[in-house]
Amino acid sequence: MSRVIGIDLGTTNSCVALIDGGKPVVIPNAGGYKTSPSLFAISQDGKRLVGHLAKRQAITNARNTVYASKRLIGRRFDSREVQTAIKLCPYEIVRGPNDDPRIVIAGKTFTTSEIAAIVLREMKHVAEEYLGEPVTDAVVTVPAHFNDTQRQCTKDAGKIAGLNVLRIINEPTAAALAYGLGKTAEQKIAVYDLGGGTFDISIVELGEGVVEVLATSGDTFLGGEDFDRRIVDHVLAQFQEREGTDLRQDSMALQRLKDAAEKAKCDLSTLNSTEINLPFIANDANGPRHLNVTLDRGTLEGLVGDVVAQTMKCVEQCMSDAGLGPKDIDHVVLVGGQTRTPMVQAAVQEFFGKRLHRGVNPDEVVAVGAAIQGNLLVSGERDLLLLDVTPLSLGIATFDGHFATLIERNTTAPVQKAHIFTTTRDNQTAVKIRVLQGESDKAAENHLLGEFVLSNVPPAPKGQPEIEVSFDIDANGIVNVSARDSATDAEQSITVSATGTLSDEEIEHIMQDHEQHELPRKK
Amino acid sequence: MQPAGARREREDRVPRLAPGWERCGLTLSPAEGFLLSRIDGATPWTLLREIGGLAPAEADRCLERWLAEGLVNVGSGGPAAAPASPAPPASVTSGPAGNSLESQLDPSLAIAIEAQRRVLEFEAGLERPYHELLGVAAGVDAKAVKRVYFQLSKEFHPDRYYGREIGLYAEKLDRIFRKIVEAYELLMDPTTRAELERSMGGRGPEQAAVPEPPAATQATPEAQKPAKAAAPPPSAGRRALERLHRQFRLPDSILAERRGRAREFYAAALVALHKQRWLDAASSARLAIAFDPWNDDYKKRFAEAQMKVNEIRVKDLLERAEVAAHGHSLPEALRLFEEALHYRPHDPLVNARAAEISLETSDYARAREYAERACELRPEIGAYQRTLGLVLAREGLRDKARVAFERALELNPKDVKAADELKKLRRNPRRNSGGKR
Repeated sequence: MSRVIGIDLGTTNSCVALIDGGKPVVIPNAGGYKTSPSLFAISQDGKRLVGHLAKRQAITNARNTVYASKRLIGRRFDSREVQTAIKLCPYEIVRGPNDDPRIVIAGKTFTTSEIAAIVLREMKHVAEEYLGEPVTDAVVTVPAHFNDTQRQCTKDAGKIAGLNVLRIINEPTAAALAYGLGKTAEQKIAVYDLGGGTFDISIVELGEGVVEVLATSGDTFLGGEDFDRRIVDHVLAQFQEREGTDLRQDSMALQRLKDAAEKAKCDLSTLNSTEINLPFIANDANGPRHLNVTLDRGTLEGLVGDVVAQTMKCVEQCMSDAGLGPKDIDHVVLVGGQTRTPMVQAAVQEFFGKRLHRGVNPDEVVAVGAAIQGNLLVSGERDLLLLDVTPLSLGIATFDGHFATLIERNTTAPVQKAHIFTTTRDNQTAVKIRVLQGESDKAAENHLLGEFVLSNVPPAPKGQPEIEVSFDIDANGIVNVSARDSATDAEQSITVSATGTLSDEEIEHIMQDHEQHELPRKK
Repeated sequence: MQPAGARREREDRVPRLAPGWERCGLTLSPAEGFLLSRIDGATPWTLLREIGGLAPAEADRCLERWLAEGLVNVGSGGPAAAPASPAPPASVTSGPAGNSLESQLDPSLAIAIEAQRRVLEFEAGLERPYHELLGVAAGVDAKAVKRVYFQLSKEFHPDRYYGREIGLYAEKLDRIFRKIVEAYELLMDPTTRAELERSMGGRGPEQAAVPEPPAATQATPEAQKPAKAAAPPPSAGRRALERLHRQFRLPDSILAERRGRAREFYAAALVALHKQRWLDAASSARLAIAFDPWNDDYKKRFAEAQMKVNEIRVKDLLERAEVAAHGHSLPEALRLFEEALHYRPHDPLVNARAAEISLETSDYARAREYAERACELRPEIGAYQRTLGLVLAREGLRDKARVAFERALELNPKDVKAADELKKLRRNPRRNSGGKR
């Protein structure tokens, strides 16, 4: 039986696990760490570096080191997320031919799927080193609110990395799965996942060995990095005030400060006060300048209070989506390193009014869940089943610019739903079907997944033809949309999920390219 | 679905008590109670008629009613545990369906024969009423429904056989699971559940005795009418209701009640119209339609209110679009014009503006589409022809561009720009075929 690995492809850190002898094992990398930074860099002499290696040189090579690229994957260049990232990142982000963001480092352009693939390949190697045999099958996790394009791009990344991605599953679902192992009683669990770059809240129900997602909500642009950024901004302002030097233009200094901020943040989870010490951060007419700032927990809490409040707003939204109150929740599971911050724990605890569950390691639980799902699929185990749901509503645009939902979010797949539409003009012979995903009433505010035209509708007065539009999602999450004219039985359809931003040839081409650049393994 | 046929088939089958039947809060006459006590999961319908102590027609009526209420399942397809030994052979040898099921079993597949049989049987009964499909009685609590749903999911979810060679069973599992989800969703939604159970209750003895009321066929064309006429998307509840209409006939008392509610909303819509609160009026009218989809007045008022709402929306969109266009935020302007076009696809001016903006952003394909539409709608306006000409010239379609400019000049001989462009086209026949500036 082939092995299936579970990969938590995180914004800042990634983790890989598998089921060995019926027990989940989180696999340490060559350095002994159970998580690896999701970083990719090209060094001064043209070598490609991943993970801890990339992080170790990130300070001196800031412009050629890619971090947090998960925020860009599957998005359009003009999206708010990409535009914000452009302002924040020391590396260059340009517009790709498909309006996708591409990353330029060391004069070479990479798609976001490629960057993700490099990280996935690293995780694949970690597992292969541990097992001493090749691994190809994997289950990869994504945030619950990723749309189909983002999921497909992640799948493409797996393909580029030489992985056969059996499933893409939601991170909180994976966490619940890890938590639900061996449990039989019916429980409702809130999964609060504050990672490096994304925030997710999901309400999951476990019972009779079935895991079901009742509701999910979240924010793709909210996470531990916001904490770091707040600290960086705070320190920059203090430094400018004291020394009169603005470090914002200096990518080296910024990267150093970012690292120091992250460390200070972690320190403040256990200490009440810490120091940020960066000697020789700048030079001016008077010689070298040093940065030395003391940060205490109260200050940090003041800096990030609104970020935490924002997550709690998502929690409330999610609870009302699920039609539940805090009392209905049996357990609260914390996921993501940022949940180690006392202020976050206090806020969550206060909302739900119960002790937080600490039985699972917040950094590893998602990868463990992914490994469990992979194992469930191939072993055909009968005691546990993951019922996955659609993360966002699916529907089509109507002639008046509205969004007609056919499949509501949180619907269990596989599923098929159909609805009858009609023409809006007399003698209209063609109908354009625009397939959208999102929660807004307005078509323009939702994400366009694809479009097609049903033609040869027999001329008739408006409102008379009956066009049945049907949406079908199979167990693999592939969405098929078809439109059928009931008068002629003429039918048109598209498969919308199969398109990321890369074509198959592009993926093939990139795969070959990457093989050439592979670093010789062995250390 | 032929009720008569279904009935004949049912008579060959074996009624069995659904799990949880005790909790239904039954009120039975002693005779009915006796009949109920004879149901042992082995005695077929025909024999129950003989030994039930009731007149055969009476016994049929009772059984039909219990079947509709989900109290009783027929055949061996119910989710109740299969009775020890006598039932399976009976279903294999007696019913004609049994033989065809048996012939579909394939030991070479990676799905156990027992499981195959279960899939085939469950699939055969897939069109049963939802309560029966899940094997739950009316009034059973949500937790019990969910438990059954989970159990069935574990048994029939396609992931159970992921990556295995199970032949045609893959499709069958898919079909079954979809149906289970559908039943689960309808039964977990209190509104649709109430409708389902009310219609079951409404099917009293006098109605149940007439097995072929063409309720389903009659409801279908009517139920589809609202879907067609109402351009705005109906809510999920409404869609579920349409499905209900198809499956059950609503009792007259419920229809009357719904019409009453529709009238209330309609009255509110009229008041709102009078006060020119168009949005309120549209939503009230829409609700009236939801409760009584057959009233044309409601639709008329809704259309009226919706038109006003759209007018206001379009006006706002166009203002914002012009502001964006003047602020040189062209993509934003184009988006706003296009949104306005959703509401007013036949407004020549909006089409022309969309064409001009698209032209400026070098999106010639789009520009041409809009320019052509503008010209089509108002062929007598020279400026539109000129815009079309400009687009065509940029696209390198010189002959067509020339025709457009000539026509623009014909309509407005003082159009200097068109004359200019025309001159350029004639002067250097080669160079500006691509795009000039």
